[in-house]
Amino acid sequence: MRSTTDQSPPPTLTDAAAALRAGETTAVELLAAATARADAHDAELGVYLARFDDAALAAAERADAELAAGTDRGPLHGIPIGVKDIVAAREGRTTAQSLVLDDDWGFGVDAPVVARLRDAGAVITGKVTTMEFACGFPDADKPFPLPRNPWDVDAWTGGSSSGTGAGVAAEMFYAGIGTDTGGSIRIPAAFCGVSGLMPTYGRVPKSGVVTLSWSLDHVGPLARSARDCGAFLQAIAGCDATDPFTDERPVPDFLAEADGSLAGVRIGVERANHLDRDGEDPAVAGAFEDALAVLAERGATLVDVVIPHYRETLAALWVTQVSEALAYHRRDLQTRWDDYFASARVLLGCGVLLSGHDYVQAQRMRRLAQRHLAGLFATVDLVATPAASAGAPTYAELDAAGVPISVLERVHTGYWDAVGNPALVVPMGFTAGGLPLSLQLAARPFEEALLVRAGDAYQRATDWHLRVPPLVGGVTA
Amino acid sequence: MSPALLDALLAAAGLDDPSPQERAEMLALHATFEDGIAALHALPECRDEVPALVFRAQPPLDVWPAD
Repeated sequence: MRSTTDQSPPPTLTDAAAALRAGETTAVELLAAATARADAHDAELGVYLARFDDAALAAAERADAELAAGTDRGPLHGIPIGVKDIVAAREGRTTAQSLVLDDDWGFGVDAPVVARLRDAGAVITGKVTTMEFACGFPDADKPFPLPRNPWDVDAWTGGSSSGTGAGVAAEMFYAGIGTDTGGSIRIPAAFCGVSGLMPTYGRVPKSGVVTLSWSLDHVGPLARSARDCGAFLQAIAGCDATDPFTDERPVPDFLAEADGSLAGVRIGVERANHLDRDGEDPAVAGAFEDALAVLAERGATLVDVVIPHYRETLAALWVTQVSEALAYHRRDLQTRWDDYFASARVLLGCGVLLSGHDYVQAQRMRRLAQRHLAGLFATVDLVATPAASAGAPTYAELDAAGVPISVLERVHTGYWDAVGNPALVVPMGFTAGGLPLSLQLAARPFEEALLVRAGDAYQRATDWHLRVPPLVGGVTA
Repeated sequence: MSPALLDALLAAAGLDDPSPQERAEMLALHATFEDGIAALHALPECRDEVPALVFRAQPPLDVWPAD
């Protein structure tokens, strides 16, 4: 928690929005605080690839003027927001943190999600780090910032929405855009001790976002709280004509059910595929059980479940992700192999080991898993798991391996990408070494509001999400 | 999956640059999923399942970025 003498800005997006409307702060002041954090810590944390200081100040001034004139665009109005640099924003080029992407890809144009954020009054502070093309691990030999974890700068942030996770944790912005193809919203959220919400596949348009795997890519928020994630999702959700995979159903009020109670909610607890794993940190099981106890105290009924076809569905994810990604990158890999990050090119190259019939069977498996999962969700409303078996790996651990398979096996996010269901991670404690641990909740397709309700109820009873790294002003983990 | 088969598949895809260490990493990664991939073909229920791919006989209504 913070020192009681710390004169910091409001801790959450929701708090900041309330403070703006109460006249206790201004958008310009919120931006100034965020900018000061970036000035102080970005060189060490590697959050930003490009800062839009002038444009952000103009947007903040405009937001203040609008509020003063009685125009209120909603909870994101005047709020500093970061954008992962695989998402196009009109201020400059998109790099995907790669030497390979064409310089003019999406240049000078907003992706639909960025345009929606601007319409909601958000102040876009800049483009933030990712893993190259949203896959793989850091590469110190490439000319991009190395994202470092605000809780321990010798540790990685997780990826691929690395800068978004670290930037929220370090208070460089209140929330940011992430993308999730195998866990890239939820892994950095979990490793950096913030909240992250992967919406249902098709809930948010992904046009204007550099493709990793078109049938798996999800766009969604990272923020300090589940409620913040709900407010952010409200601004970016909904059908868009440029993405034929977006769903046409109406967008509900994602905060409407968040009343602090989980009465009547049945939560399936999945231990079979998530606990007693190789490399599991000793703190994970206890933190998970404590989190479950809080959910029960808020009124939820807990039942043990086993997720159907877990191992086969993860194989389907691998086949789908690597095949689709290699299809996108093969031409560039043929001529620019060494320009790719060391881990990305190995992961992408694995696609040659997969066949067309592997790919078709993977799509059959995803449908089969969806059908059996629907049966499970006929008996429970949510499924709870740990987000990962350990805290963030250190850079020393990553450097010791080419592609660190052990790290891949310690995260438990990919199943939900394969089936397309929404999933939320919220902080649930720390390792003995002071690295964040997180709870993962998953819901039926298009039931993000229930996830926000559950995460919010949990966070009304806990303060893990409000803890601030000592580096940026907190006093303890 | 044998190293020779990997070499042949990389060559067929026009990917000649992976180093020996990178080729070994690819084989190790593939091995972690090999049983799961085999299961995709072995599961009886998978055979008659409709693949999670839908073709629509209509182009997208709009493109990004707009012309």
